[in-house]
Amino acid sequence: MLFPTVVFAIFFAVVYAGRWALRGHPRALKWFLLAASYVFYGWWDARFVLLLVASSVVNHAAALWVAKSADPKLRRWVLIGAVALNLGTLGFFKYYGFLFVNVARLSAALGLPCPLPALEIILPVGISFFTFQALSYVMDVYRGVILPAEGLVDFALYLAFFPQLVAGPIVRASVLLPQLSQPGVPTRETAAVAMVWIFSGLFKKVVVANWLGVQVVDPVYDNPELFGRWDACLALYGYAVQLYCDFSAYSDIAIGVARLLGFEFPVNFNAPYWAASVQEFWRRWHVSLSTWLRDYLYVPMGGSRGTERRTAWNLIATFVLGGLWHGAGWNFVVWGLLHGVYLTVERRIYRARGGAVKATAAMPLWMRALARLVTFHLVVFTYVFFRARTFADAGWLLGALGRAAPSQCWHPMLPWVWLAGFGLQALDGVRVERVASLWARWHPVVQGIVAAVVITVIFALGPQGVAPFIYFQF
Amino acid sequence: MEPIPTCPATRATKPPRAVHLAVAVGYLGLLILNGVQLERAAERLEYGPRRDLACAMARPFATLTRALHAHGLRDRVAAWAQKVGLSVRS
Repeated sequence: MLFPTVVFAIFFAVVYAGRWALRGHPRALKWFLLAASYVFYGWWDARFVLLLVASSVVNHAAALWVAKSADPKLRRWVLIGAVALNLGTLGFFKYYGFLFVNVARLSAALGLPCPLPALEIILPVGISFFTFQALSYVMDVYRGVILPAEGLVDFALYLAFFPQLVAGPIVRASVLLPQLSQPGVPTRETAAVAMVWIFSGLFKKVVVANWLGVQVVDPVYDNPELFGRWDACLALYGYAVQLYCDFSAYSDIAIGVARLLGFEFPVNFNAPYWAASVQEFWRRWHVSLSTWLRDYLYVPMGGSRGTERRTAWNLIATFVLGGLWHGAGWNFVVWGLLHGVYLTVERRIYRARGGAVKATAAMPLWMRALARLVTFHLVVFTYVFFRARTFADAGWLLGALGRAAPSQCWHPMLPWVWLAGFGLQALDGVRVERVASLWARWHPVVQGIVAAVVITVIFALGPQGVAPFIYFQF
Repeated sequence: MEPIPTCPATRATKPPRAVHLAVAVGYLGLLILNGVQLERAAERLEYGPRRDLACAMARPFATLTRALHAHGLRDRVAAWAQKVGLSVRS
């Protein structure tokens, strides 16, 4: 079920009515929201609801075992078992095809038969997201950061809660579980913020991301050998804004929808292309993933506590694995590797100058503007590997930058759509509240009428048909 | 461990009647402004009970939309988007 569709609008109306009708009945409310979340997930493929249920049962049982056991060895083994099971499931569904192709190629090169059977595996939507949530839950219980959920229904709802189920944000158990026991109530002000988030998300996805994808990015990336430098540039910069608008749109709508139901999600994007360093970029882009990788991968590996070489290794390994999390392909490995190398080099440069990367905030204005420009272009370069289907395509696209040819993709609306998408970063994070404060002053009837008009205009402006969100494939 | 940035608190004691009203009016407005579009979308579904149900549900709103000439907003914006090249098939 996609957010910007009629089906979701009907689904949300039912869930909204049910949520507030059951506000005095917490147990019934949890069951209702859980059932709604399974309907939302099962809309794609009902079979995978069983996977969600199985993941809920296994991880909750593991967390209870870890919490109740006094034997540190046993606790550790249960944790290892739970982590292995989660990663094994993720690996089977997401990485088996990748493993098979690479083993088959290697076997063929060595003149041996492929030892792995060829399987056609359907990737369950959002498996990377809910697996990471399950992992963080078990690890947090093990570390004593949180207590296990009050019951299986609580944990199952935490894992499957529909606004964030398929494309994040990756909400920690410590953030969502307490809210499931005691959901909040949106005030006029906070509901106004939710509405602005939903409008912003719809505009980003329906108008900007879809248009840039259809008009510029898809044609060039699908056949990069047919285009010259101007179109390659349009595709490079176009994809940067398309990806931001597509992914942050999902987070914006998810946060807004959850808030209208009385739940708070962490902010997932905070004007990422205004970052003045790659480190800052990762504090602003997909914050819930970057903090997850930091807390459950980078820090346990030693973080920056060891030597410079060890820190570099930890950074690069974290980002290579982060790249693989995005997709089973060498292009994602290269994308992650580039970010790891950027961070390592950046760290060394700042260290050599006797400061920390965080010091970009204290830079003079011109230097900060230059740092922003450089960071943006470093990030845009990595997207070539993120978006291209193969290394050959990536090579063609980079090669196209040197080929003189008239533009085939230029459109008079392109700068406006691009600037609109880029400029919408101004609404990220808590800045949205300034806009929403105006909205909150209006009478609810006026708010409703304006909301209907705004959403209608967004859909009338957008392309016909809604493409799936890019991050669904992750 | 640095805290993850979170949204500001939404705790309140008052029943969110104003929020319910805004959401209800918003939905009603959407149905009135998009009734014709909903009917067209329902008609594009494959023949079967799902299509019949969708058409039956959309028809009253389409009638209301036509009676109020409320489809003009969407039609005009869509025509402008078509003219400037914003409307492409996704």
